[in-house]
Amino acid sequence: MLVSEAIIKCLEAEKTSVVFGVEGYNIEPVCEALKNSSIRYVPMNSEESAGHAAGGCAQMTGKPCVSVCGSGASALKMLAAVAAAYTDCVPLIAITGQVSSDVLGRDVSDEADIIGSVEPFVKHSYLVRNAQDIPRIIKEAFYIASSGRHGPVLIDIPVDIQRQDIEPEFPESVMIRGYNPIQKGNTSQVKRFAQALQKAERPLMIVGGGVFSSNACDEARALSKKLDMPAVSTAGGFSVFPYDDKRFFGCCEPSSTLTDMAIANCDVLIIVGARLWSLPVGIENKTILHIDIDPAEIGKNISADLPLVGDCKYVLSQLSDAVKQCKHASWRKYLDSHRTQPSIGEKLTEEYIFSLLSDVISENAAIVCESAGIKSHAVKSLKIKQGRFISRIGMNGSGFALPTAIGVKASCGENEDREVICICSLRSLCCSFSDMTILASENIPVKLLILKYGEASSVDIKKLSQACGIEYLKISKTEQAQEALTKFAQSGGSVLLEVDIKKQGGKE
Amino acid sequence: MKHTISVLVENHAGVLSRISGLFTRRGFNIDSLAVGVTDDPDISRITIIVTCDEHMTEQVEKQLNKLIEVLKVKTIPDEELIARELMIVKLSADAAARRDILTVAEVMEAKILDITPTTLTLQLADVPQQLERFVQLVEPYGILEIARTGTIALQKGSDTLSFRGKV
Repeated sequence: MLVSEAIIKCLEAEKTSVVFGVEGYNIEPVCEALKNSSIRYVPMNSEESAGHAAGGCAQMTGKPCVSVCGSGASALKMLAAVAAAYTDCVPLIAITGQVSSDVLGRDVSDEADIIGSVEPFVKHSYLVRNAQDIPRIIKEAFYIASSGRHGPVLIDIPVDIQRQDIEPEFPESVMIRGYNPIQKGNTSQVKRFAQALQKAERPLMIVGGGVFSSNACDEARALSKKLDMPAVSTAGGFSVFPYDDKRFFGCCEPSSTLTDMAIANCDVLIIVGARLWSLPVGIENKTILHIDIDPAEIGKNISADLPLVGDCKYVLSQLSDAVKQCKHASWRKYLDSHRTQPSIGEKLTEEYIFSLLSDVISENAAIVCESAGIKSHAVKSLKIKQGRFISRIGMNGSGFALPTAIGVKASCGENEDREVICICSLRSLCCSFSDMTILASENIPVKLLILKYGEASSVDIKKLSQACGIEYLKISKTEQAQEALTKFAQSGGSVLLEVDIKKQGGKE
Repeated sequence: MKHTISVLVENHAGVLSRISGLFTRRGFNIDSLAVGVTDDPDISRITIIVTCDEHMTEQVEKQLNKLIEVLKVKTIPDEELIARELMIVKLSADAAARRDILTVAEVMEAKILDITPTTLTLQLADVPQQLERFVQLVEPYGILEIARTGTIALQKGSDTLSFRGKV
């Protein structure tokens, strides 16, 4: 069997349903084999997009997803997406082609030291030197990417090895002696946690992206319910709690008066799967409990009074079992009294649009949101019930939103009907607008909500949408918003809605 | 302050670059780093000396542990430390200087590796402070070349840092 075919066999064994890639030098054998397989191959328009799309798919499903591309410059272009996956703990498997192993290291055409370049941004990486190792390496890569703290793994495969004929032995299990991620929390530490939580008069939980990574949303909500414990989220953990959960008090990145109030006034703060790189204010003088799967996160940015290393899913249910039901009615009432109805105003602001959007989209919609500015509005005004909010936390580069949304949509199987909405600025769209062609050509319907900030645009988005086979809608006045957003939500295919955003308090 | 960290790693190509990359990236300063294979040919021991505070040492240990190819990490407490470094030094030594140098070598328990009409090459294996002292003593004669291994260390007593994992 050819190595390229063995690779596909391995991917199939890992239940890979879709791979995103860009064909290029030194990866043809793998791409050819992919096209002749049961796996759906989605050709993207840039390597970075391929990486982001696979990242989106992996983030949505919590399972590894693969991107492939060629060697040299091609592979280097994928690194930004690998780095984004690393900072956001996304189980991305990047497979890159490499020059033939007999000329490796001689600076031949299309050679770049990818293993060296990617080292700071991967959980692990492999340069395949022996064709026979392929099945083991792929098995290990999937295991490493999706166990412990999730993260990307890169596999660099010289093109001559892809063409070799081997008799592959497919391993049943993985044994990496230096890698034994912890799942369950230490029992006596769980007891101490339970005691601290039980004694708390004003407990508060902060949920981060780790709750999604370990698929522990139910467990987080259950613990909050059993202890009657208010919760806030980081940007990465936004949508762990449905917006209308009476114990949920909003996103603390960026902070609001309400989340500041909650953090400053709680007596026991339990941080679940969050690295809190931007320290919330008022975190002093309270008992801090920190749950993380990565021991290195504990004590790195915030010093915890009680640390607990383990997978949130296990640890939270261990905690739920260890605590008795209690009530914190007055503490919740106190926080409730500080809830404010966001005034959405009359202007075409982000808040206005997001607020109307929340009312028209389906309950389980996935919303991919560009980072930085727009995200901070989104986490304040989007009302997400059973849906999912996806954003990049660690790497705020432009141009990730559309390919990520493509990945999210492609991750939904045939039977899963999920509305996928991509929210980004016009500038961000311009960084990846070539991917707009994918929506129609690959039949991956995504709804684009493009915010325009009065900048002069070099592109006619209307014509661009039409050229890509995407329905075009526009809102330039408040009165048009309701109708256009309803159309946007009802559309069954790909649609682009351009909105002229007016700055809050700015001129009309 | 200085901390001595002993690390057992898979004896693979690329492990050392991952480790040194980690130190550079996270701003940990390495004073010394020495690598050698152990009694198990698949496992190498790296001895790293870093200057940092307690909190930083804890982060160094944790970050090292995150590398897939790192098997065990331990900071050896100072009072338990057995540390040695090997140095080879080539001195300019004519007939007049030779006797004086040999006296210093004898006192410091350095070994003579090579002798020529104009040079003397000596070897010294000792704690790093003794190596420094030796360098001071022979410097006036003219040091032509020095090669040092970096410090290697084990812990005193019966405690060991070993890896007997399932393979």
